[in-house]
Amino acid sequence: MNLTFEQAMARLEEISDILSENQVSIDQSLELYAEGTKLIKFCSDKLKAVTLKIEEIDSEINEGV
Amino acid sequence: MDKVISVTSLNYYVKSLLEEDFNLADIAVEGEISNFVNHYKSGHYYLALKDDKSLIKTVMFSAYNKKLSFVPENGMKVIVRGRVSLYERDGTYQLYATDMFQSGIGLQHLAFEKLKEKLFKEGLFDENRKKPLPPYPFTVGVATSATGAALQDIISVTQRRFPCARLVVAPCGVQGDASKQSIIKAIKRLDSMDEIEVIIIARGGGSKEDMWVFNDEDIARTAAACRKPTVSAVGHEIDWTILDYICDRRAATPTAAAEIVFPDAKTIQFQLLKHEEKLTRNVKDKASRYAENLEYIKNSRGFNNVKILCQQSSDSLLAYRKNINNAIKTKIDNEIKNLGYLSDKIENNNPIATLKKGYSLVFKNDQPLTAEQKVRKNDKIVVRTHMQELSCTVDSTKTVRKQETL
Repeated sequence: MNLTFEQAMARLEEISDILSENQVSIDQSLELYAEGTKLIKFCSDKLKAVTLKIEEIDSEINEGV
Repeated sequence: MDKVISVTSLNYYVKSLLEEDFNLADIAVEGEISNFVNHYKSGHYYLALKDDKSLIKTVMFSAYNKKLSFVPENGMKVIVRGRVSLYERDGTYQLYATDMFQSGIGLQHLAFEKLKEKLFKEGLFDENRKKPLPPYPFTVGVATSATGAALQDIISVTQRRFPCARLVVAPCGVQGDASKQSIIKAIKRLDSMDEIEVIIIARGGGSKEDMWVFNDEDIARTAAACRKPTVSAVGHEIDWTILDYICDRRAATPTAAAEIVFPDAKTIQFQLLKHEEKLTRNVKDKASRYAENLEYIKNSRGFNNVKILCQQSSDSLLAYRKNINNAIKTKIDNEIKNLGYLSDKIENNNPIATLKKGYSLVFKNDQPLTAEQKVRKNDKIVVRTHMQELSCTVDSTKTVRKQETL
């Protein structure tokens, strides 16, 4: 998926709005379901990590200290 | 000296000279306060500012002195900022103060106010140049001391709220003028890294003097030039640094900065769950609604009428067939009857049949004699009876009267 997390979340909101309007056909509904679950998986996967990654940039910039 | 002018004109003239002077329009003067009066009615401050040789009358109107964080008193050493003009009624020139600082910290504060004003005028504090923070930053840069409490606070908040994030720490000094260059380098370095989405510039608590380096103009300009959104977390709850004004967001503490920058992963997961529920519910609802509709249509009159209609059509088809059959039969019967009648009629009209009844037929020259034809004496005729053919010669003729005809 060529999306950022933000775009995926925004698209999910959009899908939710479309579904709320209740004007979708069963075919469209199924399509949105397929797309939506894919997006949800994409987002959940991104949130999965439970340990923060911490990196320190090389100390070259520490000269001034 | 060929012109005499009034006192008013003189004072007015000197006043305009003073006010035209650029150097006197905004000036900072250091001295000691004496003859301090806080005018009870107007709230204006009247005082004299003096050093060991001289003195200048000073007035600070209430609109300005309301903003002071201290109450001046006699003997206090202060720096007064203001303009020089002349009070025409008394002919005294005086200092019209716009701001006042206590000496010592006063100088620094004056510099701070001047820089703040300068950067403000350049538009660097404008709301419309503030960049919005990304809602889900997965990689965040932190410029702070590698060993300070600020970093620990940021780490613990991030671990709690958004543990899937990556923190890139650019260590730098955070205290004293010596750390200035390292702060600038840290900010620049983080801004140059493509994957970094937000930069937090942080420092733990401390005195006003401790965080003074964050009032530096070069640091301010470095932060202002960042491509990425910046969050400052160097101030106190109350005191703002220049950097606080410059950054896109200002947090009171490093903990608050991490809370502003990072969303709560649990909230997002809850949102995702809601989305999933909605999607599933929608499809299920749709499917069951269609199923209901189908059932409804199956049971509906409209649909079942087709059966009834078929039955009706088939019935009427049978009826038509019967009608047609009957009609044909009647027609044939009629024709047969007609035929019998005609054959009877033919039978009855057969001349031979007439002979059976005892009548005779008369032929002349082999032709049956018509009613109008007349026969003369000596004509040869043939009389046909039922049983015989008689060849005769007419002896005589007589015309019969009409009444005697049959």
